[in-house]
Amino acid sequence: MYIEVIQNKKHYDSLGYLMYKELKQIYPSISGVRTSKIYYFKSEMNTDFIENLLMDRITDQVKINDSAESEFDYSIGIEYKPGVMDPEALTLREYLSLSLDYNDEVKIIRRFYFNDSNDNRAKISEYMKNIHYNPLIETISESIHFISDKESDEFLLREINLNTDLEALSQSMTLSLNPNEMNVIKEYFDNIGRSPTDIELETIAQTWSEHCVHKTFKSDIDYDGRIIKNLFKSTIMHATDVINHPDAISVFYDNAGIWNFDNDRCICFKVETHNHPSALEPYGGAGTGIGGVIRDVIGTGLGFKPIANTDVFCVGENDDNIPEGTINPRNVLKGIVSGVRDYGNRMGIPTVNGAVHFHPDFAGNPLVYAGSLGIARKKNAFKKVIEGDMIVLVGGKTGRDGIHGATFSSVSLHDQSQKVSSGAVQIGNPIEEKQMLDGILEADGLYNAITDCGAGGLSSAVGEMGEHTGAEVNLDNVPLKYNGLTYDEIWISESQERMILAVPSRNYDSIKEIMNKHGSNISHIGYFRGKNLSIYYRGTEVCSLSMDFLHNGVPGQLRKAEHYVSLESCEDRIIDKDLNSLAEAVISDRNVASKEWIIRQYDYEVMAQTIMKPLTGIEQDSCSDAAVLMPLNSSKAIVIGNGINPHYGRINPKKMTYAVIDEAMRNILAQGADMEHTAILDNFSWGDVNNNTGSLGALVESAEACRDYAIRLGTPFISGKDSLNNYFKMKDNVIEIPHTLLISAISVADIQQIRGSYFKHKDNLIYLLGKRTAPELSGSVLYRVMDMAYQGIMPDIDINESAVILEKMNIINKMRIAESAHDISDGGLFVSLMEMTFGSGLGADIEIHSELPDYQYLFSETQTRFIIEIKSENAEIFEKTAGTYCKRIGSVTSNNNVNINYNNHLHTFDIKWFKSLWKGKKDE
Amino acid sequence: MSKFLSAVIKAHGSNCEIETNNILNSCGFHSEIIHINDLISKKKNILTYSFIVLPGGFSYGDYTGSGRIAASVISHHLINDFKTFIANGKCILGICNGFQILVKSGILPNINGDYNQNVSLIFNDSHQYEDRWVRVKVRDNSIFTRDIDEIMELPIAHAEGKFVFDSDDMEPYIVMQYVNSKGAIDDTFPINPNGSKENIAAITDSTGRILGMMPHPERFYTNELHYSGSNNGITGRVIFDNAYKYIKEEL
Repeated sequence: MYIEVIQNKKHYDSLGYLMYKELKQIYPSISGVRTSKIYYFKSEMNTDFIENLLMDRITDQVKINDSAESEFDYSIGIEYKPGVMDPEALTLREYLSLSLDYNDEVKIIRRFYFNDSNDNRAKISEYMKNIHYNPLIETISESIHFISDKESDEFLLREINLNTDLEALSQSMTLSLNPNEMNVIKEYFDNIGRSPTDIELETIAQTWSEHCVHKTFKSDIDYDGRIIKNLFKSTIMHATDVINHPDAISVFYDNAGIWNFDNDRCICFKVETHNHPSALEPYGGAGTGIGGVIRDVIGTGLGFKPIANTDVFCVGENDDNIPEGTINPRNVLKGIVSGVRDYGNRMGIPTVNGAVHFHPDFAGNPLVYAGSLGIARKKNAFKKVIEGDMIVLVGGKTGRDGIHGATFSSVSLHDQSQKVSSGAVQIGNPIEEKQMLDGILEADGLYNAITDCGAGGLSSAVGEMGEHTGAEVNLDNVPLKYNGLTYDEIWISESQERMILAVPSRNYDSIKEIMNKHGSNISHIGYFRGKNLSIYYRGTEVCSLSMDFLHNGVPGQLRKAEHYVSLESCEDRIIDKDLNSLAEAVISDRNVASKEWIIRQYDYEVMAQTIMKPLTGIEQDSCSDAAVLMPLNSSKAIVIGNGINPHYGRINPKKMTYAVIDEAMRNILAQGADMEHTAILDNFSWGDVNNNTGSLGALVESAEACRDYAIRLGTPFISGKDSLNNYFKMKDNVIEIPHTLLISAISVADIQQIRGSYFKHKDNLIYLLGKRTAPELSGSVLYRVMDMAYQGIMPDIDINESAVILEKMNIINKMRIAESAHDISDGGLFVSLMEMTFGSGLGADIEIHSELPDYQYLFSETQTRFIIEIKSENAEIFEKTAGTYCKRIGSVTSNNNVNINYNNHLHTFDIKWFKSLWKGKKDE
Repeated sequence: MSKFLSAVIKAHGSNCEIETNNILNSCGFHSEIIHINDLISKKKNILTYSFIVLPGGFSYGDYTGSGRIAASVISHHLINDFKTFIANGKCILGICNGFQILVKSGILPNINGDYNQNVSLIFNDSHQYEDRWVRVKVRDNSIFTRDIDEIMELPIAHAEGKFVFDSDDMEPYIVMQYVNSKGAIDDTFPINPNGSKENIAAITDSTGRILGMMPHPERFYTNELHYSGSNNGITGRVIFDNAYKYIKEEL
């Protein structure tokens, strides 16, 4: 039977009305759009009950077993393809099984009705693609298909003959292994005297994938003749080792880095990339990205409670001219934002900090960074699997979702990707994850170790946890979404919302009761024992691999890298446009402009702890530099900030690296952070490091810059991730992304140190603190809007000087003498100054004397600079502390203007007007 | 049995239960979080408590409409206990998703006493989830808002907060309405953030002991949580303090 629910009045259907407004622009013959939902039930059920459940007595009406289009001209229905997770259908089914004992399929169709004097059905269906549905996972519904239970259920063990063309084999099985690795595998099986099974090869491929072992970053590199042993160890990890920070509790070992919080609690932080899935299906890709990083946090130590999420996106710039086979950047961004919103909000974790950057070369390969921060008692900081523990799978059921995600993420995207890679795309179910989280937190103390099923599914999770004990797994005990999965599909499926626990047998019943209460599946699928990885299915051993070979067998490789040639040029055209028009262009640039339309959609206040919100100021629409949390029952604050600049990355990766570390530090310090209790995370999204020696050189230069600056600052890296091979391949062209490093910073500070980023009181003094402003405009917002991005020189820093400045800022924070502070980054001094007026409506009188042309001074992006507001009675002590690095540039006024007297020329900027430009440009 | 026992009832997907429970304990209640499944299985019973709170979140994902499945759970498994609970003079607060559940299960405003749904909360006019602070004019016609006769600032965060009703007279039930900075009812966005009829943000029933509200008072338990960093008006804590005071003095 089926039941259709439709609003009984037009004005109750806001979605229909918004679609009507949108479509009317393109198809003027349309006079109305209405929306409905059709629920199909494979077997009969109690009509009264279901009507009562689905129909709102006030606003809805229902039709039962009636599909007429009645007063409309035509309709379009959209449904999920068979096998794609539909969280709504799943939830409904679970409830019906609880209350009605209904245990059959449920299928949901979204239906759109049109009043239209022309028949535009086909055209509108095409238009809705990638805007209202994604053809990868959804389809225009013609008739209802339920998944057939009769799907073949035969078991046939498949052995693979390795006496063949190994490269072709790697490709045909999507193993993403290179010939050298394939040969090592062949040798291993030759030695033990048998052929591998398919599941064995797939397990090795997952474990050895770039995504899981980061073999490029950990390999030896010949950089223009200089041999670097294990790039990661000699740079990022080296810095952390040298700094040896007392707050670092666990680094580069667990799913997330662990940092000291207060006497009995610690926090952990992890940022992940989910670039390739988001390129194909922005909504599902971003949602499962957030879902995945949340599980990383839950799977850290003995279970951390996630308390904040972050998100940073890089998308294409040009909406009209996009490479074939890609989704329009505007729709990519909308999809990503919706994905993060629906997952984060439903999980009840506030999304508190982020950034968006636009660059044309992200069109085919956007970047989605998702971060999550967790908190736990210190006794839960470490885990250890004990031999003999039960392997317990909790959370969602296993389906065919995301088969080969780990290996897929290690190869490039191409113009057919959206057509052929559908297996790698998934839709998340945040409520499933929330139920699992609630259960795991309640099961505190009942398990010895935990990790999440991420890329590689059970294969990675069980393989990783059992590295030292071995693991025996019985795949028959894995709960499935539907029949017909083969044993290797069960093993490598990347179905979301699943985690593995190592449970002492005596605790299993207690955990089971807790998970059941929270509605989360739980099953005992094996034991950690036996030193090998042994997998059984229907009584047959389908996999028997040595853990040692699996984890230590991947062959090293010496890779060649070359110096990345900076794109800066000595040429620097003088701009002769008037200052006001430049100012308007810079503040309206979408990289600078307010991201309010995105932030509003996120629940950034759940958990009642966000004391510095992403939207602040007296009109709750101005920006802050960093987010600040005050967890319940604490007197300490957690400050979270980030630095990223792909435009700089394209020009000069080394200088970019300095700039983004500096920006992340500036952001948190501007808000009042404590530098002595600060840690950073690295996330490299790089171009084609396999085929382009310059790109690998850029990685070397960036990693070494990370090492040098971190050591000088005494600020360690505690976690990180790299996503390599981000490029988009077309028939006759390859677009590499700009090498992009995201630095995320966390700091634990006294609540009393926290302050805002906008002016507080009239007559307070305004200072510039930091490096001397130089004409450093290559890659700046101004040069980009003037179409001269590569001219001039890019901002550089002397790490010793910049560290001294940041340390001075830290002292000022501890003295609590700054009323407000804002860092200077994109758009230079001018943008920062204007932003400081947006939060309070107060103005500023500024006076500057310099040998530079006005626009160079005001829009230069020289690093390590802050604007600071100081009460006049604190001026003396502030100046004494800041020394030669501070310069008084004016005072706060109650005017509606920012007046800048530049070398005795007065320029007046109307705050209201500039705020409207800053707020005005929407990407919706 | 202490009359200061209170409970926050969570369902799958509720997500404001911890901070809500926290504020209850800090106001003097002995509060605990209980799972609705433990009520269905009769391991727990709401009649143990004097005050129950249905917290914010996305019960059952809000799939098939916000609060609908949770409301169906109440109607099919728990309605008799709820009736007794209310008849015993006890208090219920529904915040955001909790408000949606109270409305859709017919508990609020229950105009005819038959526990049929009278009003609804549907998708915002923007059809989008939004987090922002609003000003609401508060009436003192519920025990939660006694002696409050002023404008409060509170955060909202929802996609389905548009309050609608057919022809009933809502006037006696209105507790909060969205207003502008001058305190006047103003239908323009974002003052009325979702398109609610008569700018209604919160209602009570005829007893004044049941309150459903879209704004989140628990997210503003201290001044530091104000969007501008500080504020001299009252905070959301007053709602919980008033419940405590009522139970202490009159229950």
